[in-house]
Amino acid sequence: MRLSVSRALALHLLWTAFTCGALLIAIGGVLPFRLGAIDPPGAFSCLVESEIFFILVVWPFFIPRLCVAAKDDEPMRTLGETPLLLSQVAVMFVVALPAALLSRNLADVGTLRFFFGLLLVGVLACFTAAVFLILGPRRATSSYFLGFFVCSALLPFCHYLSGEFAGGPSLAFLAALSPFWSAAQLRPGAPLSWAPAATCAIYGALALLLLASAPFLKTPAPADSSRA
Amino acid sequence: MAAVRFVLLAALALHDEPSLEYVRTITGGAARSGCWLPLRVGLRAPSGFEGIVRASADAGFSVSRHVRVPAGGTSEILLPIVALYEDARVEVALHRGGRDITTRKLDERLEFLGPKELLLLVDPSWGSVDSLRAHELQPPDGRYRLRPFPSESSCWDEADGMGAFEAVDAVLMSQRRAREVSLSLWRSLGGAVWTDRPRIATPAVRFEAIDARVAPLARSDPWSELKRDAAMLFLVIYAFSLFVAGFVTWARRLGIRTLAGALVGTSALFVLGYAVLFPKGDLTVQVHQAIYQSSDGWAVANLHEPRSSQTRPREILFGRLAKPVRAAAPRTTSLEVHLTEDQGSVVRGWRPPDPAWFLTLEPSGPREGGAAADAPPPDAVRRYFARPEGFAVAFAVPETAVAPLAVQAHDLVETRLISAIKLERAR
Repeated sequence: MRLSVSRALALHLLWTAFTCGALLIAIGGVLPFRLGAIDPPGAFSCLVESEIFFILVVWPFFIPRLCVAAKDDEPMRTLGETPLLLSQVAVMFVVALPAALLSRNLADVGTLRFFFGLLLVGVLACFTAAVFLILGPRRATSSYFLGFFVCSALLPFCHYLSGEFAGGPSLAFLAALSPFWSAAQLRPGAPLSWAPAATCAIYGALALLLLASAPFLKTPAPADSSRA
Repeated sequence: MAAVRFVLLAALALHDEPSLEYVRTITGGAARSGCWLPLRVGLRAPSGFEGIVRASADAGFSVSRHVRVPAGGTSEILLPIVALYEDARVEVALHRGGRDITTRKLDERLEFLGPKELLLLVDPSWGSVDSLRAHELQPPDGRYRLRPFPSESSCWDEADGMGAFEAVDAVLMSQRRAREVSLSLWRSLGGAVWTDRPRIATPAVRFEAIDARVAPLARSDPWSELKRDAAMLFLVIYAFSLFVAGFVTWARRLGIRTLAGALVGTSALFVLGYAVLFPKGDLTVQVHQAIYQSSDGWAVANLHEPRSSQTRPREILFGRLAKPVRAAAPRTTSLEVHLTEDQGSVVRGWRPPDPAWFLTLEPSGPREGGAAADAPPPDAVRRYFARPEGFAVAFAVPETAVAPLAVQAHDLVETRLISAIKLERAR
């Protein structure tokens, strides 16, 4: 297996444009309405939120298309893709580093929160890659996006409803499954500072579990990726 | 015998220690809440002294000044403080080597003036305060009552040069003495100088240290524009550089490793550029300015609003004596205003989010190019600066008249003139 240069370039340019563009729009005040939440302390969580959105929504569409067969008779979907994809996650991580440092300076975020912000993005990228590699894009796509909706929107909404109306026990542990909700806790003075670490642990463990169980799973159907 | 020798040596050592001989106000004990109250501090140092004299009251900050007294000599210095309430504990301390050597309380009891009372200082060259007749102190219009206090005019000019004469509304002295005394800044702010008898007076311009009207002047935008602009420029250049690096690699049909190397290299270059070039601090100082004009000259009042989320400047340097102004009475703070030898001041101990503003008074008008602008000043500024009766808003001036200001011990300072208005004394 090898990586397609043109698709890798498209991935990285899109990644840069998306993250830098989100930060520019947020801090620049270029929209016709004011983004009330994006004050200096919110700059870092804004960047992490936009990175998480890219990782969870856009990155899955690149995963099956990023690797191409080096030889004509090589099967298209093998576990040999994993190191190649993880290397691209590492490149994305490094490419986003200047913007992350910049937003950290704007937001006055401590080293630990900064570390967990970057770790959260990296862990989610690995988790998404593991899901699509192990299950295959055809099997994974619909269930993945259903899970994405449940974790990102439904669980925090349940937490909100329980806090506002039920008055019962807090469902913050459910909301911690939402990567966006966890990233929002990276703001200085956020009430649940443990949430990013918990989310990293949960999705990191799931990614490791998926990769470790790969030899025991049924070989996924070949992907519909084209050859470069 | 040894005990007697010890006692004698101890007494001799105590005798050699510098001491505070007296602490008096130059207003004869009269004070106005929130206004500068200049103190005359007498020092005696048999074996010489070099250190700090620090005065404090109840306004949430102390004022200090470096002093050097030759061996066997005495010295008198002027030190302004701000007292707020009747029970203000005004205290002066001699400070050297990280500790207070001696302290002394104010020798007089402060008598606070009401809002309808005007402070009249009477120099001995004019005569005694007792010779003033009651009907002269109650002007026929009945709006304000003159309160005379005896005062030596010898230190008036020094207090006025600092901008610390604001509690006074009028002075009475002989014609010969009036020719020797300048009081230019205070007269520009509406202070009245009489040589024969008291007349109908209006209050001079003054700024209380606790004034809720400064709060609406605070900016609602939490961003430092300089820092935001730098961040946006950095992001745009970085994204463009990545695009160029990636496109060149792709156009030359280089491999995936070269592409990764180009992207990582560009990122490393910008991380280095960020570490070296990007401004890290975020202290913003915004200035509201008012220019006063009376028949006796010009005066400029600058109200500085420092704001920061992380930068803790060791010192903020002002070209003139800076007076901390707050919207509400502070609890204890470590704020210190240190007077420099060139009539400037250094503010130490300011920490975000301390809501203290700093007011300085300049004795002249715009430095250069201060042409009139047509834009009317914001209403909030007008409300604050048009307080003294008899002054009316005339026109606004552009930002060429920003007072000298410098900040030390941080990486970024943004000084912006938000608004400037000119107030002219109504004829």
